[in-house]
Amino acid sequence: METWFLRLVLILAWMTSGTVFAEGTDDRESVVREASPESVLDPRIERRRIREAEIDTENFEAGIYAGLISIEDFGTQPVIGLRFDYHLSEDVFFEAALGRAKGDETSFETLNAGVQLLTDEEREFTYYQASIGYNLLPGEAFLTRNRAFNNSLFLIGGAGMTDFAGDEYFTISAGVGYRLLINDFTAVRVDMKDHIFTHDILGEDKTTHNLEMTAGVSLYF
Amino acid sequence: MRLVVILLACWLPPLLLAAEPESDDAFEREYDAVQVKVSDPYVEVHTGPGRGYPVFHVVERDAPLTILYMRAGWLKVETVRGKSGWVPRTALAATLDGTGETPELDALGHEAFQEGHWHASVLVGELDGATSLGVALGYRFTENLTGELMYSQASGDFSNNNLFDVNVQHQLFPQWRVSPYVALGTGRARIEPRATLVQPENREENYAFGGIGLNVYLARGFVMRGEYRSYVLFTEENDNRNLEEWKLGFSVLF
Repeated sequence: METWFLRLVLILAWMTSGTVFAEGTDDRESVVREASPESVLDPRIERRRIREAEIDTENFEAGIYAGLISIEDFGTQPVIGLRFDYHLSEDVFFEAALGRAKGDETSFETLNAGVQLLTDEEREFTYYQASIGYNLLPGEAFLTRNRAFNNSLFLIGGAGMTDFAGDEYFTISAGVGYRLLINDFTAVRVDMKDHIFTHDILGEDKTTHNLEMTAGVSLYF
Repeated sequence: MRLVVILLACWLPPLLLAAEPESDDAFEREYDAVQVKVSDPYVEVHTGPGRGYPVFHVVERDAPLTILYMRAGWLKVETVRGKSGWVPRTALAATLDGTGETPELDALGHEAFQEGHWHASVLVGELDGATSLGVALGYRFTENLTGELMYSQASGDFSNNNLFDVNVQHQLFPQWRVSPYVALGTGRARIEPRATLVQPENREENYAFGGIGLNVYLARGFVMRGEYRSYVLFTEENDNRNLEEWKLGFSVLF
């Protein structure tokens, strides 16, 4: 019984592999055909004048992100944000970003119970900035033999404002990020940035480095 | 029986893999695709939108090419064989449209965005010793005339200033790639003195300004912009205050 069944399966397997091979030869044929397209293909294309402006453009990217930001002296806190990008060329893109976090207590406040340097509202940490990005290392990442994703490691730097402790501070940001396109219009991003600004919340001027690490998703349109 | 299962297992994956590309197509978006015919001996199709992505396919002369959309200077195309990939936008020059002519390539922007177009700008500058950051949205009514709304923030050692203004710009030589303009505008400033001990009141003042600027068209739809402004603040005191501001930034045209 079993041998009979096995024979049947083998015959089936042979037939299917046969069709697979047949498809293989089809592929080869198509290559040959494409070499002399005028013989098979009749490029009957619509009789109309085409201007570059009529082609859909997809230069914008919009997304959300979440992560952690280390607000100097005020602890490491969750941060969420929005970003909007314009892709100028394969190398350069521009980004506007808005992020929000909330500063924690300083160690001084924790050690001296009852001391409050800032009100709850003043602890709100908001930054907005405009940056220029450069796709330094674009490439393809392979998941399987037949599945590749376009990706890029980029440098990003810019300027903006940070609203914190009831004041606004001019802020310089610089960082590095990674973008993986899971299909033609969806990107997954990981960004690491340093937001540098000078404040005098603790009495004297101090240049602070606020390191941020985020992951996000964005869509091209 | 176990052998049968093993055999079945061996022969299913290739079938599933063969089915994979079809399921991928289901996720493709709909585009207003345009079709052209290749007129050069061949056009190379890359796997990604960048000069370094490998060429995996070649479309020969007279074969049709469907253009789906354009991103950052690259065209996403589909061949008649169903292969899709990327070609640089300059490859359009190697094709013909239905009328037998090469598709019309757009100019950098100083010709294409003459009128009836919007621009958005981001500018960083210096206003009376304070660092300023501004965003603007403008509309070009005619070849020469542009109206613009701008919001700036200047954060200095003594105060935080918020400025909101409306201005009119006159492009002196709209056909030039490096295009100078003059601007006139008026607005309202909110001045928040920065003090840790005493908390002085915020002030609001009206102002007017005149300025000169320069637009440099760098790439299609992208402009580098520099501007100098001279402000007059109509203060409540007897004297008006004069301020100067330098700005440098970029605009995106759309």
